[in-house]
Amino acid sequence: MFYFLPFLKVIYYSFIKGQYQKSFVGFANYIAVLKNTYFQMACLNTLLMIAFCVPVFLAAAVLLSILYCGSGAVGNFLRKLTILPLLLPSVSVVAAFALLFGKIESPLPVYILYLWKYLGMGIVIVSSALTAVEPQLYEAARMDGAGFWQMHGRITLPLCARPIGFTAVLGVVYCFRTFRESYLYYGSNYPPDYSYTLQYYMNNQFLKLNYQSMAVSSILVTLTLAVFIALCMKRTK
Amino acid sequence: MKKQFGKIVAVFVLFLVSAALILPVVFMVCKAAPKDFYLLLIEKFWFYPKFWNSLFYAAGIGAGASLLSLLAAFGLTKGGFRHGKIIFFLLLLLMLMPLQTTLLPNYIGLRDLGILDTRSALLLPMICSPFAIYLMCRYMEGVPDENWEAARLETDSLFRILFHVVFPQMRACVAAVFVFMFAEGFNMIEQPMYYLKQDKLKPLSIITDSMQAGEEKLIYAIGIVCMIPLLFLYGFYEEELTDGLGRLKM
Repeated sequence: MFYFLPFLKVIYYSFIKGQYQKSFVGFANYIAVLKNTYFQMACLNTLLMIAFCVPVFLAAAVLLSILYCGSGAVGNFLRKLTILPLLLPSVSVVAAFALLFGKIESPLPVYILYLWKYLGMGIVIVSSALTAVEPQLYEAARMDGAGFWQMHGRITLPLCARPIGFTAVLGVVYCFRTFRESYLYYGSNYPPDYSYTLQYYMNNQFLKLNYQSMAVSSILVTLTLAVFIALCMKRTK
Repeated sequence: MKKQFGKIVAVFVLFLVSAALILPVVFMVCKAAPKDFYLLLIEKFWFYPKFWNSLFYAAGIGAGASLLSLLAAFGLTKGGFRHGKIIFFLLLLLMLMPLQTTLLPNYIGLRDLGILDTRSALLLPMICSPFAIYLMCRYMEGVPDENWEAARLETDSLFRILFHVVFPQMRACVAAVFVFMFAEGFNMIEQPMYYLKQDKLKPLSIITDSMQAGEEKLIYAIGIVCMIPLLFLYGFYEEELTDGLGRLKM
């Protein structure tokens, strides 16, 4: 009701000329958006963020969950802390990060914010998959003289491929979601060029009541993500 | 000997990570002067209405979402839907969409219903959260069907099955959804910014917009006050939350 039906209307919006001139213009809106330099810049920045953050996110989630699960009660206790950042309100978190980093000329603070906030989610998912792996497998491997890397590369990764794949998808999706933190961090609708991501583009179109561009970019992002997720689901089946 | 050493290194690394996770919070606590709290809690008259607004939205969203998603998940997983797979895929898709893409559809929906700029504009879309429903479905799939079937033999009333059989088994997941949605509701920023115009309806999370000059220093105090309800919830329901979120999968 709040998501699906209105989305049909959004598709309709993306094909008409304007709010008051309801003439059909075909793909003209799409071409206009794709040619927009800000849209291109936003795409590039978002891709950069994905390329940098997701591998780090994934590696950290897997490695840390292995460590957490491997170190008994202490690990269990410390693991509980990791989901705390997910719950804390952005206002407080961003205020703290702004204090820590001050004004640095790079998008790095936002990347670190992203990792800090969402790592817990990855760890929770991966480690709940890890606990489902039978411990006998590891014991058998240890008997055969397998080292740490060999053991986890050969047993953990293949057995937990699905949850790890899901974590990767989540990582990509969270890249699209960090707008709120970034917005609060820079405190304006026009951040420095290197942090102008797709979300900013859409947000600003919305504020300018430019529903057509907004609709087009909504649809483009939705389609891209839908295809990506469908592909991932196929792969991990 | 070597194994012992490895373990010590692992624990050390984990301690470092945990320290990094808490560091910003500690930093902020150090930065906020007691005087700021005094100003905020006693002198600033705008603080309390917004704080209650925030709590109201968060609690409403948490409670509404956990109830609705429980019902929806029960229907979806046990109701024998023929197109369950498609619905699941749509839910997954919606759950993973960034907020900015659903903002416009949401806005249009709210506008057509005529409830923009009211409290329900914030509550309703969040209560129908695809994430909550998806998580609930995943959890419910793990409970064996026999449990409901046994209850069906005992009673005819769907309400009684829900209340006496479904709810007790799903308690952990309901708690997880409640806490998570409470946090989301407490943390809304874009939605109140776009759906609301009246200042008196706005929650605390977008306070920075309406702060006057010279009040910037208060942000740390506000941040800490904002954290308190969530820290409480985290303390009480941490285990359920980990358990519930751990069931997330494709």
